[in-house]
Amino acid sequence: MSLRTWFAVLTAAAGVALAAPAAASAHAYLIKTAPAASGVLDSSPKTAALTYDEAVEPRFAIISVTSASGKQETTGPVRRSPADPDTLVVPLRPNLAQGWYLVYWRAISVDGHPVQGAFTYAVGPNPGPAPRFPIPSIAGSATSPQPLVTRTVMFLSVMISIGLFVLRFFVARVLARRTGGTGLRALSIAYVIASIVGLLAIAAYLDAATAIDSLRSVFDVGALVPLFRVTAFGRGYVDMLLCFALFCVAGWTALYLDRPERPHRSVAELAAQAGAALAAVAVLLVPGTAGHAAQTSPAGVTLSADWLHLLSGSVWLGGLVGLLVLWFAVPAVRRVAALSVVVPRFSNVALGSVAVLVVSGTIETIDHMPTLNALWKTGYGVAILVKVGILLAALAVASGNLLRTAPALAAAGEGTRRATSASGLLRRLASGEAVLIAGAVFVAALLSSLAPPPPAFALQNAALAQVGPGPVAHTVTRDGYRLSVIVSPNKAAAPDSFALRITRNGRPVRHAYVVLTFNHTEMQMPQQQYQLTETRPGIYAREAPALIMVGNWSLAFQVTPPGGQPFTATILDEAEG
Amino acid sequence: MTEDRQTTAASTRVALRLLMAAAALAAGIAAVVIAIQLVRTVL
Repeated sequence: MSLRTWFAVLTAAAGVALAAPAAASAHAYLIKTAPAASGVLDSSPKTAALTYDEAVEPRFAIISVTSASGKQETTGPVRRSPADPDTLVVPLRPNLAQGWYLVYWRAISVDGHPVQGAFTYAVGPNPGPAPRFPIPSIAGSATSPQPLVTRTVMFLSVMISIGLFVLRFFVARVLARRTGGTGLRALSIAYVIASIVGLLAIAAYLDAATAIDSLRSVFDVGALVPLFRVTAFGRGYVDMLLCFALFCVAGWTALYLDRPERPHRSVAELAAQAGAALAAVAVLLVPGTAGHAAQTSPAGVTLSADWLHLLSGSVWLGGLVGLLVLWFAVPAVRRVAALSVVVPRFSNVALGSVAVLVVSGTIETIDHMPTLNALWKTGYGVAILVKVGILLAALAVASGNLLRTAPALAAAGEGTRRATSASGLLRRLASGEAVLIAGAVFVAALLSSLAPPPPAFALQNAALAQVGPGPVAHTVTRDGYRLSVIVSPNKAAAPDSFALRITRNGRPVRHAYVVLTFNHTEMQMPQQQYQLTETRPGIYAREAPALIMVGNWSLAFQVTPPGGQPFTATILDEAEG
Repeated sequence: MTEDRQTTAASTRVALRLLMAAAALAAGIAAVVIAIQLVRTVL
């Protein structure tokens, strides 16, 4: 296949990031509270206890209990319950006055994402009507500017240093024998600088992310360091720092031992370079284990795709930065000679990297997107589309290098003027390409802080109607049946009433078997099912605390009429706090 | 004598280079072991 055909195939493949089923991220969610949500107690409780589906870390959790006047009623820090590791407990003032109280909570999931929620309870016997509490806003999240910027700088510096290592040792090393050592020395210096920045950036990101999670200042390093390894996310990035430090040790040793002017590598050179390459491979495995890839099924496939995606992106981006370093570092008289050696070799490597980048990115997208329309209906999907758009622009620029500058530089001996003009074009195109890829890395950093849509997102497409927020009274028709759905008060973390009135030809349908299934379409949560009982002719109802969190819920009414064909009517309901 | 000293110095240099290379290789292997352990916790 010619280069042009290759490029056409890759460009077409880059646009294909579609459909298919998969799982998504696992965020902590609340499964039980004491006092019960919206419940009225006879006496003042001593504590507030919140039970999650996983053992969330109390040092990163907030539980605030406030009265209707906004007075804080907690008397101590959040602690883990000795009886149940999944339960967090906070002590309350004794003898709380009669009235309503708001419990607002925030916890950090295993994958490092903050989750939050709120519910109310009352101390009786006569608490009066529930007031409208203002729910506190998010105190800090993974998409806050500080961790986002540090994450981008970290990814850029780590990827560039690994790409520069590959270019220096496996692509441009021949420069020393062909055109002298100037260019190679510049690449070595650039690699050392990038790896030092990478080391500092990983440490800064770990500090910023832990500061956000534990609601401390980034400068409170003494308090933050002991918290680094508390979450799986933190442990992952501490290990990444360790792996990257080992990569630096091995890579700098390989630089010291390298004798590129000799035609063959010695045993010592081979061993040191192999050590650095192994460490680089290890470094790029870590972000997947501490992020979405590890939470997405099948984890083996997504982790491999994530690793290949980072590796190919590193080779492409670091290589481009290396070409620019060469362009500026090599004196003008020797520039064309140096570039004519490196650019054609790098073009082949970059082409392979782009192919792997496109394929692995497509696999990851398919794995994370439950449906095609999740690409434009969810923030995660839109971020993927933006990233694909930026990469397509980078590919268009890359095609200029591949089809014009690389052949011109390869044929440098035949016409110096043509090669000189190609060298100028290369600088412009490589700069543009590097800036575009850096933009894609920024979007990737944003992506890793957003939650992918859960498989239940696909249920939105089956909904007959979209209702809420607020009390619901909505009628739909399905298979000749008229179905009136009532949800009241349609509030999250409260016992809501759900009712379905079924009529056919104006008459109530009696003795049907009705099951109501709840799925949150924006968050990974367990499915809940309740059987509705016939309370009046043709009216099936049930009260249940099913809407655990605010957001969009798929309410699927599975109806089996007596002597009729079963059918399902799905409603998309937005519950508010 | 001078030749002996030169040979010894060259051998020492080679030994040192090999030692450094072994350290670099060990660093790479250690990094891979850390990453594999991390992967095993999530698979």
